[in-house]
Amino acid sequence: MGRGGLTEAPLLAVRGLRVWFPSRPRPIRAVDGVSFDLARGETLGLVGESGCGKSTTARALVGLVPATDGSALLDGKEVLHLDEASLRRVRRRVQMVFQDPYASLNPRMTVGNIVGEPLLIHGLATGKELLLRTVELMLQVGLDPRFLNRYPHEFSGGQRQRIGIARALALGPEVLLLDEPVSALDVSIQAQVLNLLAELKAERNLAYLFIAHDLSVVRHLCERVAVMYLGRIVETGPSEQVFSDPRHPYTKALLSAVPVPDPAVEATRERILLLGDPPSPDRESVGCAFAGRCPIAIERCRVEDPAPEEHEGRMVACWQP
Amino acid sequence: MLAGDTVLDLGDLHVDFDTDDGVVRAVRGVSYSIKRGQTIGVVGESGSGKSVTHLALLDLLPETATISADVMRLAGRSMLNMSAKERRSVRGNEIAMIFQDPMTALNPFLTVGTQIAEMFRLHHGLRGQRLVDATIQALADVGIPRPERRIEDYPHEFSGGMRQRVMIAMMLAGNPELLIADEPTTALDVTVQAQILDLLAGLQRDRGMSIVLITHDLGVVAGFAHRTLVMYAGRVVEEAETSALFWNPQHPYTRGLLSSIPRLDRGSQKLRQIVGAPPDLSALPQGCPFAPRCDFVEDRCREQEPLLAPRGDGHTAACVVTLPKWEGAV
Repeated sequence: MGRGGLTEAPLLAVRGLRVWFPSRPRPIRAVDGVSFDLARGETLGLVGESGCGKSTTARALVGLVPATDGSALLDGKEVLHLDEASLRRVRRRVQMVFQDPYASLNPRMTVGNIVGEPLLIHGLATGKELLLRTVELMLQVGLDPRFLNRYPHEFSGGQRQRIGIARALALGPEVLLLDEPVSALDVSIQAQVLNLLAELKAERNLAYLFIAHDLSVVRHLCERVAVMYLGRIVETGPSEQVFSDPRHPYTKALLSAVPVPDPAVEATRERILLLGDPPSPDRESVGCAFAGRCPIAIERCRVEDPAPEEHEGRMVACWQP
Repeated sequence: MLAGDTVLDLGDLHVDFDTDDGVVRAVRGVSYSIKRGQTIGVVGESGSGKSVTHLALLDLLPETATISADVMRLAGRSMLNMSAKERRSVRGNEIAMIFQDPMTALNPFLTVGTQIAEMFRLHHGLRGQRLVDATIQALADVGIPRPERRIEDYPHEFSGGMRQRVMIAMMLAGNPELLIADEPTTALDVTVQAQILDLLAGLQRDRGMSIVLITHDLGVVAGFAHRTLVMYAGRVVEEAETSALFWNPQHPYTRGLLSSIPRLDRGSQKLRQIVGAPPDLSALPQGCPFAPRCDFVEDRCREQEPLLAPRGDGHTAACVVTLPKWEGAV
């Protein structure tokens, strides 16, 4: 998919990813044909509203939900449809950070054990070596190693998210899948974690798939952005371009709905109010998924599903971009 | 100013919670007032006291809470010396509240029609066809399509945004003077958030209702509120006309907040961050509670907690330091 100009093969190449969940009368098409590339050291924002399939996309990539169809190549090697042993090898290179730092940490384990556990499971360190590397990881994410023996409930939300990040870094991954990593945090704490993520990325040349519903955060952190709607990517491109000149009508509506903390801007900007809610993801795939809410839909949109096509440096799935 | 112009007048409200870890001082002297038809934004982080202040107004706090205030006037009537029954009746008629999660406030076993009708029966004594008509009209007023059919549906059959509309319809049945909306759009997607804010703004305009919008999102207040209060550690630390607050913030915490949020209309820049975390409300430090995190802290800040002081044009801030000129959130 169009990354124009770049000759280096992508670190992660996802093609036609489908995740369908069995349901009656029709399956839930949570992810329905998603393709994107992630280059080494790059940050790709995956945005969209609840139920659009952005989290499921990430979960499928680390085998937390089975992929129904499609492929995902990490350095040319398939990471979908794997057995447990092969999955474990993938997880050394691709790690996930979850939204809820309260729910994703075992309350009965000390922070030291949580951060060091991946090293133990993968047989990479034991004893003194394990302790040393755990301390190192804690320092890297700005946690005081003196708190090694404390439990998660003794930490604030921001610190808990740092613990989750330290655990994800333990195996020295190349890709981090960050699923809403700052959305449960208060604003003043959110900035701390965003800055930490930016620093870690620069130091370790990490690639991030950054999943968020907060578009301001995505614009801040991501070089490229992919906008999802009902299991599909409707627009992908460099953040700067997509945010300043969106081409898909859904991207336009989504961006216009984001409040800007500046009364002068708020007083003058035009808001595209979408009618209704997104349709159910068990719908039969006829026409464009957005057609029912789209302010500019034409007859063709209701009968023929637009495939992503290149428009001025980005991919847009729309008949009239 | 006529007494009738002020819908809510709060003076020196305190709320303490008795807990196993000691007394948590959740609200420590909050005073503010709202005029008729005005929209006030209350911003602050978790634990700042923004919700507790308003739950106290509605008697919605658990028994472990101790509430005291010098002034608590609603539509010109003091609620301090009323019996519980009188207070309930005043509240029921003058003030309504909606919450972040409408599902917890709706009864899952009753159709939304039944629940809205109940409000019209209580407040207006409507019965029979007139009750049905009023219920359908209420759903139509909050923008629910095909209301005559939707009254038969149960809350779980509505989306999050539609449920919030149902809550708003229920609250409007009593024709309240004041609507308190506590993070009403936080659980919603941005496109749905825009719909709900648009609905609230329209209701406020058409009915001359006053609205208190409690939120952590500075973007939401920027486009919505006439005045904004910033709360920190149980106190109001700054209050001003919304535009003045954003263009010339006078409290270091407000400045910190504005500098630490990424903006959709700006590209990537390093975010200024507020160091540390909010204080423990059961063990507050001496002096200004923001001092340990403040970029401008002076020795005297650690001695005495500053009070809200006027900065001209109805702008107040609780800070004794002379701050440098605000250059904007860069």
